[in-house]
Amino acid sequence: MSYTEPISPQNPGLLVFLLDQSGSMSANYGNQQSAEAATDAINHIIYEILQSNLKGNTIKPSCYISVIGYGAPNVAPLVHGRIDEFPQKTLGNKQITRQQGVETVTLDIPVWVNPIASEGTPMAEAFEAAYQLIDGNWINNSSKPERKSSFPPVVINVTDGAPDDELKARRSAQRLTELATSDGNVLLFNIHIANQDGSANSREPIIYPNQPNNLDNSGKFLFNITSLLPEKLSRDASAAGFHIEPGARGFVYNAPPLTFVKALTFASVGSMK
Amino acid sequence: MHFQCHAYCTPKFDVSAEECADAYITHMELGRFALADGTAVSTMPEVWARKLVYAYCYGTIEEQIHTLIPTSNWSQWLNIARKYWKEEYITRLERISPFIRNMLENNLKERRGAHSTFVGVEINTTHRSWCATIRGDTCLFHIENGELAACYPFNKPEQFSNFPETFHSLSSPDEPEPIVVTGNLRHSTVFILATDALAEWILRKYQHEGNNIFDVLWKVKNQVDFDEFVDRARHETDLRLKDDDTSLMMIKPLKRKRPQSPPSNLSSFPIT
Repeated sequence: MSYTEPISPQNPGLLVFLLDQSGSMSANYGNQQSAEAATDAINHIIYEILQSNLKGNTIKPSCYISVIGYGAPNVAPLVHGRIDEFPQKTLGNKQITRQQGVETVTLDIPVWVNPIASEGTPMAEAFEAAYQLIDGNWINNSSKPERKSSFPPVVINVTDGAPDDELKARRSAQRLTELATSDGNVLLFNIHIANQDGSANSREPIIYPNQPNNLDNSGKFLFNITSLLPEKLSRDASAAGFHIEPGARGFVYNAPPLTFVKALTFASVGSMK
Repeated sequence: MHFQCHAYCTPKFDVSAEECADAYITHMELGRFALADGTAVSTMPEVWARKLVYAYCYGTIEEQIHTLIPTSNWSQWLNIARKYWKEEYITRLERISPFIRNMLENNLKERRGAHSTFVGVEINTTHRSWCATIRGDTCLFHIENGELAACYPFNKPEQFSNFPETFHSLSSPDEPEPIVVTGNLRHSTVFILATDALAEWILRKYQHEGNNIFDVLWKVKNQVDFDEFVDRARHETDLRLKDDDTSLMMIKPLKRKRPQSPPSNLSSFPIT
């Protein structure tokens, strides 16, 4: 259990995003809604993983990505496939502007997931969907026996709140993280977003904590179901500017927009290297 | 100036030689040796690595700068490398799919170019001196009398990470400076240049076996030997070499003058 197996086209990785699409994701977050910020970030990360697999004129098929939405009203796969298939899976392009020094540049960024915010937070069912995907199609896929020894799948849950059924979600998360390859158990990271508008409701962001102190009940629940950062990712997180203590977990709570994108990018793109 | 120099590259397990993002080259007459490792998460890193090593060894000559610029004047050859890289980038835009062209055009707008780590060493046998330029985790092992005198920039395997410092293919006003190291050349001086996976592995081996590891490296005599050596190391039980593009360059300044031509494997390595 070392989390050292390299990810390559021969031994591709699997990255699963669980995207909270519940009604509360319509809340303001920075200068947009939480749902829009979350989908922008996931689209951005898929694009970044494409960039990192761009070799010459082709995309190297080194990982699979799956995005599963939950809320609105059920659990549904939003996009799934090998990374080199993603150019054919776009829903269109979104024009965004970025400040580049003194210049403002306009970029056409492909979109794979659209924002939705509706109904409850069936997080347990989302963990169960990830379990089914990973168990049946990945670790115990009889036509791909090599996956039993590959780098384990990484599941990143993006949410703004508490599950409908915390006990059920805890059990589902535990079942999910008990799945393992010979290189380690499935990694479950949780990235929690919350508006940081400077008001009295703003809460202190907590990034990669190693103990649950200073967390409210919702935070403690997410902390407890989150995997420890493997040694290599801990080192990379330090190098990326995060403060990492021994025993740090892949958990970010009350992330403001910039931290959210940085932490999500680090956890996903970093895991697939 | 005469040197014994062996250099080899074995790509990552699943990568073809064309995709390999390591690059090396030598200029024997000027005593210049360079090794670079293009960073996977960047744009056309394999091209950038090749342009960097080429510009270090040949750039200022090719650009008809008649005064021989010392390689310690790193901004000179770095800007030449950038010019070469951008020329090839623009050329490639014309012959790729619309999706990938859009990605590359976005990258240029965002000034996201290629990254590469780098080690170059210039050896002056007349003045008995050497000067190395180092950026990131491609390492220079300085050996004296068969023993490790120093390793730059890291001397412990724990210092390696996924985020090494790099040379970037697009200039910026706040460009960080590379490490420049100088020293006196002795008759016993030997240099070993290695890209990160191998350098980390060598340092681990050194911790366990001491200087014997350098004798093991010198027993590698050709590319076939090196491929076998890398394959064995990648399958070791305890100290396994990470599966990555893996390059090694070993340089020994010769004590006496005698005719010496570059090893054949150097001339066959793509440099443009």
